[in-house]
Amino acid sequence: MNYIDFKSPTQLDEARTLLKELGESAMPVAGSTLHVFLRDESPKVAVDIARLGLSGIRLVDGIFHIGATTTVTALHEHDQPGWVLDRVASEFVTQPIRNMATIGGSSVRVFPWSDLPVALLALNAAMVITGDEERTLDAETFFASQPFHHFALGDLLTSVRVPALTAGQGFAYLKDRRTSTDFSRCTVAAWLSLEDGKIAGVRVAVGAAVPMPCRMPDVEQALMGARPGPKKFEEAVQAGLDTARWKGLHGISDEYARHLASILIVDVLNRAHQEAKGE
Amino acid sequence: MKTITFTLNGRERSFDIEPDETLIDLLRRSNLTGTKRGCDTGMCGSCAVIMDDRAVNACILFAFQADGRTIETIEGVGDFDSPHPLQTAMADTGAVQCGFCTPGIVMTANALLRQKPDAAEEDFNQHLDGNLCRCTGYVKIKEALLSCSARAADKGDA
Amino acid sequence: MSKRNFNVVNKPLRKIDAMSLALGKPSYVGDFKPADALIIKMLTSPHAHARITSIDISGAETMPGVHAVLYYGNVPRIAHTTAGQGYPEPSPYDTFMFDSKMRFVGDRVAAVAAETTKIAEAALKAIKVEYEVLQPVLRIQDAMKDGAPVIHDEPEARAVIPVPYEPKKNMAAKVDMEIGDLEKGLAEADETIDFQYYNHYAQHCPIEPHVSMAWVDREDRIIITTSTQVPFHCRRIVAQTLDIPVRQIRVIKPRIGGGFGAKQEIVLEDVVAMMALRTKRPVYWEYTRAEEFISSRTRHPMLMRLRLGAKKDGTITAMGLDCTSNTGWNGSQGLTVVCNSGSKMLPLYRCDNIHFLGMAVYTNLPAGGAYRGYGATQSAFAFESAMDELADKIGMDPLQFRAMNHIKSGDTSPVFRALGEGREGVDQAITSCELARCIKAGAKEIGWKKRKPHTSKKGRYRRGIGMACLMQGSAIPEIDMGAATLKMNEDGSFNLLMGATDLGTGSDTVLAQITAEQLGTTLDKIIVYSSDTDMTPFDVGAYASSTTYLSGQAVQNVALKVSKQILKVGADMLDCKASELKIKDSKVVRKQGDGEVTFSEIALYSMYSANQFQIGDISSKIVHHSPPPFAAHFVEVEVDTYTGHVRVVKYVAAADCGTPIHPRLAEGQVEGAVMNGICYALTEEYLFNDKGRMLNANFGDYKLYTLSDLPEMKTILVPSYEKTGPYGAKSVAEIGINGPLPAIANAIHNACGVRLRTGPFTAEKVWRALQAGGEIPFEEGH
Repeated sequence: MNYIDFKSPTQLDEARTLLKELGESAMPVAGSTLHVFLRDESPKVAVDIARLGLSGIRLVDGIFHIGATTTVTALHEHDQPGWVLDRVASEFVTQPIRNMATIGGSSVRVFPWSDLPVALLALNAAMVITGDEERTLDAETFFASQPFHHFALGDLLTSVRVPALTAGQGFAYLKDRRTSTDFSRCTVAAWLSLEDGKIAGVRVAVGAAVPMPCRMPDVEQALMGARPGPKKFEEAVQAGLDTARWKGLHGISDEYARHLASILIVDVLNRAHQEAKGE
Repeated sequence: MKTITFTLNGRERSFDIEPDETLIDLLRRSNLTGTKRGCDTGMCGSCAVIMDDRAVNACILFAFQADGRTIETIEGVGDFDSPHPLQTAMADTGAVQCGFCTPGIVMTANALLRQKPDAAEEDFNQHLDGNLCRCTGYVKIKEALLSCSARAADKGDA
Repeated sequence: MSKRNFNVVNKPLRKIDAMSLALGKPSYVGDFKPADALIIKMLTSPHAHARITSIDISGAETMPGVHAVLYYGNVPRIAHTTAGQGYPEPSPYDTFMFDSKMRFVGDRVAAVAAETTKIAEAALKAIKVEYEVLQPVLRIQDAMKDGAPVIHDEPEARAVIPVPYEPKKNMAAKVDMEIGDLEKGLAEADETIDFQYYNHYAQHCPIEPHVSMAWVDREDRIIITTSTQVPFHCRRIVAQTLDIPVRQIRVIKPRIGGGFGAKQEIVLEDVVAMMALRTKRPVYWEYTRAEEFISSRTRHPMLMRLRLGAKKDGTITAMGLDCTSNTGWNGSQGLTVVCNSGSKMLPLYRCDNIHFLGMAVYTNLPAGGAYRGYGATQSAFAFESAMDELADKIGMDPLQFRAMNHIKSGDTSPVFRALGEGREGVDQAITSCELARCIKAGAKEIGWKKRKPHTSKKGRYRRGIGMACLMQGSAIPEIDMGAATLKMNEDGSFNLLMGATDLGTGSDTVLAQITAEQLGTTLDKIIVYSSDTDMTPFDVGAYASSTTYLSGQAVQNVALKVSKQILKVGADMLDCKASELKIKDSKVVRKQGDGEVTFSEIALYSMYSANQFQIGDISSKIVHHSPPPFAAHFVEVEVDTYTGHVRVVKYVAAADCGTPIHPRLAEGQVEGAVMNGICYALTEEYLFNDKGRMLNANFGDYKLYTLSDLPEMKTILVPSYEKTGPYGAKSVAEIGINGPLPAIANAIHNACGVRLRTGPFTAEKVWRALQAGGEIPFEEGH
């Protein structure tokens, strides 16, 4: 990036004022780990938003409030009943990157291989944007396209809210890669809720093998109200796979990307089901 | 040019920096060359330094992000007369071949052991997953790191 | 095997530079960059094959802060090879400092030296270039077609030794050898196989990319400090390329951040030297990681056809190996790499009818160079895969099949004479071979007995066991030379000055151990200074698995000469005959009776007391043999038959390297090589678009394992005693990389019946082969 200046505000209001004043030339910087993927060479002013006190994880009425500049390491190390993002954070790139990258930074700029958006879609997270007034978007709306569309001048993502997992619910997350630190070729997450042995709620999200992370509505629909089990999961996946546009990354074919998704979705559903059953 | 101030290896220091200068460039032009440049994209770990108790890649960190913080580099860890146990272990197990990745590995493992002195094998695997070494195949590195955990001392094989 | 009692060698002492490196002391080229150094950046070709029709450097030249711009119009045009090899080089002269023809995406267009990186990069953008784009050649098979675009059409391109070279046909090298009669051997066989194999591109990935700097001293000499494996070849080739005398250049090699063959090439030094001359300022050039992938050197991809024949009783009757390498945009190491594909594998098994055809062809892709394993990695894949396939056909256990056929102590092979490095080889009998014990020890460790056929395996995750046998060499006989100087100091310490080039392997330590052992002193008394063309004697450099064996004999020789001088001075001091004395624990002592003088007393006496002279000497060594190290590798893998993913569960490498001079460092060589080989087999690959541009030139997309991927690894050093080597030592550094590709291929087959003959073994390939019932059609990859 071509930074011609930097600002280090310590208050949210101060940061928002700066962003408004600087307009298009402003670039909020939290962990800075995505800079290597950015190609913009126009002169910019970096606004360091890591000092605004926006980090931290609190449980409020069954919902985790996660400050936008909470690092992935903090997500990983957090340990509380109902907390599941550690399962995602542990699979996130490498330790020095986890130590800098933030949940906000990983959400506002989406790459095909992004980890957190897939999990946040499956968990039905709420994304809190602070502008002149605060507003909340559900993850599906937020990630429908590149999230910058949702931001007006001076707006910042300040919090991500994720419901705590309760009894009868399960969540699982998987990514396919060549080594433990590889970019994902196919990322899948599933959240599932059981009532009377039937599926009362289910969300399945995929990433990496598709151009933008997305939910799998047809798979979800095929599962709603059904009795869960490996056979059922396979059927649902086969029925719903073609709603997504499969795209192979890093030298793999589109066909194989689709195949990977078909295997991994069944795997996460099985795992989520196990957890929901309390196993 | 703007001035930033941070604690570097235990001493408060001020530096005039360019807005787009990376921390590794600042360190290396300040004669702290133990922090190595291997990829410039945060993917090899040879530039690992400790910022506020966490290992970070100095090549993708902007110098301005260090303002007001605490930075430790390999130069602050040990010297010939007082090497850090990690440095002694790396040297004695044969974990140092070309040595280019070694400072980054020492810094990353150092951050882990401070947080968790009895780090287990899985902890090292997780925390060192950002440090590439092409010489050793990691076998001797692993041996060196494990020997520095309080766990090894408990077993009496440190 | 014979066990000897040693005092310094065969001991796991602390590597002499380990602590300074662990402390992060300034050690590597970049750590010595002068504050006022100009930064060099290179403008490179966006086209795989093109001609520059116009170039305007004025915008860059006049930019404030820019000190020089080099391009084909303002530098000497001298055909040379970038390969750091002995003179005259077996690689063709087909490279220029700059040229108007572009031969790959990444080829040099123009270099800028400027006050800062930013200015240099801005200056590159100010250079205006127009190209006539030519049709690129991106496959071996396309390069060999009639009427294929000619990559080296310049009149200067030539071979400088008498070998076939036909650039008009894109043929950079060719070698053809027959022993006995292949067709007859195939006819005699009960079973034959005939398969094609393909080895893919890969890069060495030293964590320190190529880096060089230079300045001109007060005597107008160019001082080059560079990360090189071949300082003396570097000096010679830079002198040639700049058309200046060798004496005007000094090359200094500090610590190197890994090489693995990549730094056996003159990649940066010619431009750095030229820039220093032009600007009279210190200049500094380091490759980015992307440049390291694209514009330094790679493993030669190779297309192979292997025909084998065997009788039902396991006798091998025929071996026919055809290897065609893709040498890329230049022919660096093309001939010798492909020669090694034959010479380092064909002698491994006894056979009377052998045919070998080796070729190297130009393409418009990154250039192959030296890479650990050097051709043997390629042919070991074909050979050791095929040995399993043939064993299967004759109904023998693949381990037994290998055990009954492999070369043994006392054997020779006609291949040794028939195939050298670009010329005839050298006859040799095997004087040390513990391959049989390697096989036994490795089989036990992996649990070979529990190995079951793939047809008996069920379920999603299936495990399989595979093996491979390997050999390499130790130096290039009758060609390579190493030399060392040793001198004694007042405190009984010694300066060991060597041309041998420690690239991170620990050769400084190993050679100091040999020296200390021979002198009868301790390791801490040896002060090593290696590789400075002004200060140390010649050595070919670190390649061809030569340093321990070749340079080790040079230091042993010089230490022997110096110990004789020490005894002579001791005799003077003790007033007796030297023959009455021996050296023990850094002292000269009487064999019988009292009387001793310390090394320090001897040194002081020789310098200050009587008949003063410098105790010291120089010694050179060429070798007449290249005793092969041997290895047997075993691997257990687990295949996820749903996705095709292959996970290495356990890897066992049993190696016979003679006496391991430093057992831990020797193990480290095996482990590092094996890990590199595992990554090569499973994850490392170059992805190109259809215009020849590499798409994954970074560590995010080109994957190496990290600690978190490390499988269980077991290294077994099976000692032998190589009587021609220093204290029984042979080489160890290269051989280990050759095993994983075939061993893993065999293990995948044993797990799930899939036979892959094109690397890497990606999950998608395994999955496709599973879908297709075990095999996918053969394809030349990249």
